[in-house]
Amino acid sequence: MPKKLSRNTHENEVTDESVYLSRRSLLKGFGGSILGYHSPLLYSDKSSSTGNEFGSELHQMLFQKIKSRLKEDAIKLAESTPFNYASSYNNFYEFGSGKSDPKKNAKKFITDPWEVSVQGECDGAGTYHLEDLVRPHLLEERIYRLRCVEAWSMVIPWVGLPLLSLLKRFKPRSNAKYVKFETLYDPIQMPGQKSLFSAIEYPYVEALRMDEATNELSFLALGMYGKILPNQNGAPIRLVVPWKYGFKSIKSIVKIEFVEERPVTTWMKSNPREYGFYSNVNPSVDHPRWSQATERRLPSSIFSPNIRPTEMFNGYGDEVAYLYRGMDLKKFY
Amino acid sequence: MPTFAFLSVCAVPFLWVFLRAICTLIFDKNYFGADPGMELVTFFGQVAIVFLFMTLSFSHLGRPLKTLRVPRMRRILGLSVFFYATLHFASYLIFLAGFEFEKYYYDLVTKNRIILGSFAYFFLFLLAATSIDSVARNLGIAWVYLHRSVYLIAGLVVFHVFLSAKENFSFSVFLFCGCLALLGVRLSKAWRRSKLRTPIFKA
Repeated sequence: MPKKLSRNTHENEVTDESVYLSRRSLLKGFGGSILGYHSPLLYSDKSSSTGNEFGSELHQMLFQKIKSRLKEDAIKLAESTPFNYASSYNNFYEFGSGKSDPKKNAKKFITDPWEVSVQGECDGAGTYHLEDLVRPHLLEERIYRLRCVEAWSMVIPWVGLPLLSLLKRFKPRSNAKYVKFETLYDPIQMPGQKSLFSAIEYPYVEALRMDEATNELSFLALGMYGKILPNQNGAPIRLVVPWKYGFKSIKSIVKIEFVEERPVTTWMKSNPREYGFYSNVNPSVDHPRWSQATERRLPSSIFSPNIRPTEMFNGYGDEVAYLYRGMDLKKFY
Repeated sequence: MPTFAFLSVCAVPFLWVFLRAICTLIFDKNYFGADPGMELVTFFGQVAIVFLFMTLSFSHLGRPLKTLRVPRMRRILGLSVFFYATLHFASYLIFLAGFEFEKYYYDLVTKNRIILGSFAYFFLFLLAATSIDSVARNLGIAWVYLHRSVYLIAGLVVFHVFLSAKENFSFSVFLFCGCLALLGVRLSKAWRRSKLRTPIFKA
C-alpha cells in the first residue's frame, strides 16, 4: 500500500481496533505495537525483537510498565467484539431495511459460483468467473473510513484490489465516460427485493465517472478484517469509494458496464432531491432531512456519543478534490 | 395498588433501557448495538407513539379497561406519552445534536420534521402542564378544548414519522390510517351525541 494513502487513517482508528490490534500485538509481542502504534508499518516484524536488549534498568522497567498497560487495554478492548459491529450493523436493502436484517437474512446467500458480466464500450466484454477476475491480482489491504449518508461512520480494513487494475484489463474504449455497476437481482435469495412497501427499484444500480473509477482510492473489496467478505457486507465482491457516501459502494456486483451517458442510479431514481449522482461526502451540503456537518463514529456508547465533525470528501480531499475542480458541489451533490 | 401496578407497566420500556444502561456501566459492555444514540431516539419515539395511540383510543376501550379500576388512567397514559416524548427529545439532543443547542436551532429552522416534532412536543408540554386537577378546574371549558389538541399532536406526529422514513413508508401510512380511524370514531360519536341532545320532535 502506498504510504500516502494511509496518511489520515491510522491503524488504531479501525472500528475493530481492539480485536484487530490485539490480535496482531498478541501475536507479535506488545513491543511491536508500542513502536509501531502510529506507523503504517505496524505489520512489519522488525520492531518485535526489541524485547531483551535494554541499555539500562530504567528502560527495562519503563518497557515492562508500558507493556503491561497495553496488555490490560488490549484485553479490555478485546472483550467487545468489534468485527461484529461492522458485520452486523449495515445497510443492504436487498436483505431488509433494518440495520441488523442483512446479517440475519444473508446467511444462506450463495456466492459460489459467481459470475460478473462485463458489457458496453470496451474490448474485453464477456462473462467472467470471479476466480478468473481475481487470480492475476495481488490483493492488498486498505483501511478506509466509511461515511454513511445517515450520518454514522466506521473505519474498516478492506482486502481487495484497486478498481483501476481490474478495469484496465477490460480495455475500455475512449467513448466510455461512466462505469455502471449492478447488484445481483434474485428475489428468492434477497427478500428485500420483493418488499411491497419499498420505494427502491431493483436491481440496485450505481455508477462512477470514468476518472472517479480510475482514481487510485477506488477499490474492489473481496474481504475485510483479513477474512472473506461476509455475505451481509456485499460478498463476494463489492465496491469501496471512501470519499463518497456509503450507498455508492455497491455490493455483490454481477455486472460492470462501460457507458457513454450518465446512468440513473438507484437512490437518485428513488429520491432525486435527497440523493445526487456524485454523493461526495460534504459537510456543507445537508441531506434535506438532516445535517451532514457531523457524524457518529461507531461503535459509540450511551455514555460517549462519539460525535465528530465530518470532513470534506471524508478526509480524502488531497487524493480526489482535483476530480471536481470548477464544479459547484452544492448543485452537483 | 392497581394504580401502582399500572404505573409500573407504563414504566417498563424506560426500566428496560435503564437496566441496560446500568449493565453497560457495571459490565463495561455495550448493550445498545453499534449506534446506541439512534437506537434510543427511535425506541423512545416509538414507545411515545404507542402510548399516544393508547391514550387516543382509551375511551373506545373503556369497558375492558374499567375492570382494572385504575383511577385517572387516561391521565397516566397521557403523562406517559409526555414522559417518553421527553426522553425521545432529550436523546435526540444528546446523541444526534451532540448537546449543542446551535445545532438544534439550525435543524429547527431548516428541517421540517424537526419543526413538526418540536411543535408536537410543545403541545404535549402544554397538556402535561395543565393536567393537574386544580389547573383543570380553573381552566374550565378551555381545558376541554385545549386537550382536544391531542388530535393535532397525533397529526403532527404522523407527518414527523413520515418525514423521518427513508424509503419504507409503511409505518407512517399505518399510523395515518390509525389516526383517521380514531378521529372518525370520535367525530361520529360526537355527532350522535349532539343529535341526542337536540330534540327532533317537539311536543
